[in-house]
Amino acid sequence: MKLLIIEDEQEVQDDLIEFLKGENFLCEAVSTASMAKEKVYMHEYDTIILDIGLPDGTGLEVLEYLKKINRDTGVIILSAHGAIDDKISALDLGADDYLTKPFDFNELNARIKSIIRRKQFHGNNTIDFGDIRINTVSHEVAVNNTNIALTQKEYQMLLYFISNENRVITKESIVEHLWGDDTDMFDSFDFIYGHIKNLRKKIINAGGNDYLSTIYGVGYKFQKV
Amino acid sequence: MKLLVKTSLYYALASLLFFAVAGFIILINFNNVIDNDINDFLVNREEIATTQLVNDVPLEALNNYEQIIKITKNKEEVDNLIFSDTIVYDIIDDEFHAYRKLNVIRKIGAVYYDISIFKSLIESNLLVVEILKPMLLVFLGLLSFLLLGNLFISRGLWRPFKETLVTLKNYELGSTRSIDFSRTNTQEFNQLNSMLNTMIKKIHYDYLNLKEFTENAAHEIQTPLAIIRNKCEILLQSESLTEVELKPLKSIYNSCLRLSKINHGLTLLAKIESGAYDNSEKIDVTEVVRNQVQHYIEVIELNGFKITTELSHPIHFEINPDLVVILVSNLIRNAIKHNNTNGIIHIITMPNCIRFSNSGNQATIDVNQFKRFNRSNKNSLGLGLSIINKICSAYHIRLEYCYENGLHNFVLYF
Repeated sequence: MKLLIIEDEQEVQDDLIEFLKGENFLCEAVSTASMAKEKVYMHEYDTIILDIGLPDGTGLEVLEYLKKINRDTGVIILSAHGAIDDKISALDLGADDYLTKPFDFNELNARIKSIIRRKQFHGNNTIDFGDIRINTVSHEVAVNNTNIALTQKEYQMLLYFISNENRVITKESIVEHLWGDDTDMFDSFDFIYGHIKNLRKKIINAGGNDYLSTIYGVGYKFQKV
Repeated sequence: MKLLVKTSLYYALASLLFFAVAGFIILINFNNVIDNDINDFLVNREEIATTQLVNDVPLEALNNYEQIIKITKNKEEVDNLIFSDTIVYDIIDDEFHAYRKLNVIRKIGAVYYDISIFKSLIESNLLVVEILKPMLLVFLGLLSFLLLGNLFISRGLWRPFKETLVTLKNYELGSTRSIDFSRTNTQEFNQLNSMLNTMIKKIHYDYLNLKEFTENAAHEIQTPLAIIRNKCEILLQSESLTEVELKPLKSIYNSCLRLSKINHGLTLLAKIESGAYDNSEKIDVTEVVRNQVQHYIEVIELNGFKITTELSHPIHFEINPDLVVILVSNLIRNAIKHNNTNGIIHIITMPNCIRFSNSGNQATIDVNQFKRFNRSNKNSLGLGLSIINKICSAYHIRLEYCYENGLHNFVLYF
């Protein structure tokens, strides 16, 4: 999987590269709009991570350019603005997703994988993880070929865990993934235990392995046994 | 009290006081003059009577209703003129009248006569009244002339001041329209206007600077925040960290999340203030409420609250489509955040108004919360209500809050 990171803030760029390499992506990075246009013209990428504020223009220009040269690449916009109109114009211009800085690595990871899934598996919409099989179109989950009934939140959580296999995921990160901006609506995130417990129980009851381990005081990790 | 009314009142009071004193003095003077006149008249009459007595005119012929002469044995105080005021009963009119009386004892030959001469004061009193009447009229005329004159002159003189006030009232801080005071020929008002002008320019400049600073700060903070957060996440992935190291790291991570949220709210406030959302269209607010309730229903249920809605009245209002969503969602979020355990939320629409009610303790919200960072709940950022207030004032939506029967009520009048 080849990714292009367009981000002018060196430190953010470095962190992104380090993180995405850890997820076994092939990464290239540029920091200006003109270099970005050059890169996308010469190479094909699976997904582009695009910062809106660039020193020589806006990321929206790069989006327009992609459209002009007819590249069907997945694009995730990163923005420090958080402005709704920015978001709308970015999505109108063909971006696949939109994240506001500061963003969560796990969230970014999940979104990249979701885009790649959408772009690559034409017809084949299943994810296999150990004895779990997920159909991303019908949202059906099967453990050892037995379907299990998950609530929408449990389904989203499972997908998030699988996208971030082997990574520590904080409670906050899970709540933010499931509820977005509404995380401050909850006095505590303890209710998430209930959701996680139910998901775990459903998988184990269907004869599946227990992939989830708790990292004390930090969060959870989903990994193959 | 208006300045004009105030000056007129002072003028009237001062004039009245002056006229009262002047009137009193004039009255006393008049009385003195008249008294002297009457005294002279009495002395004159007494002299005639004495002459008549010397000339042996019989006593009976001398006595009449204004003149009583008796033979007296009193030999003291001879030739001492005693003037006094008295009242005499008038049989014809059947009432008492004021009289001036002169009493003197004269020795004519060997006989002592007690002579009393009277003079009615009716005419002189009438005279005083007749003189005072036109004087009072003149005084009143003068007073009203003074007051009216003052009113007209002041009105003219203060007109530039009033114009300045109107200009100030119509001025809106942050608007691009510059303030324009009209020139006057009064030096003081010109001075006032030019000072106001300088002051407003300075305030406007500071305001713009501050606004720009807030916007820049909020924006520039995003990148460092992203770096902190990402570094925390990288560290959290590390296998080698011990619990002692993880604990502070987790706390940095959580504070960073919180800071991002605050920053997000502040950026939004700055954006609303700077008019970034000024395009508007006709929107059914009730429909927005319906959608937002749907959006928050899970969060509400997870928090253990019960929500009831009566959304039968559509409310069409010209507003920015993003801001109306922010407004409604903030009201619902507010109802969730400041609620009791097992609390309730009730939303009702009526023609032209919406009421958001939620259970809660009285102390947790007061009207001050419309200002920034006035918060009672540790999880609340204290920005929600200021965002609500900001949007309402931008679109002239009247926002009312009251606490009744254990319910916080926010009512929006469109």
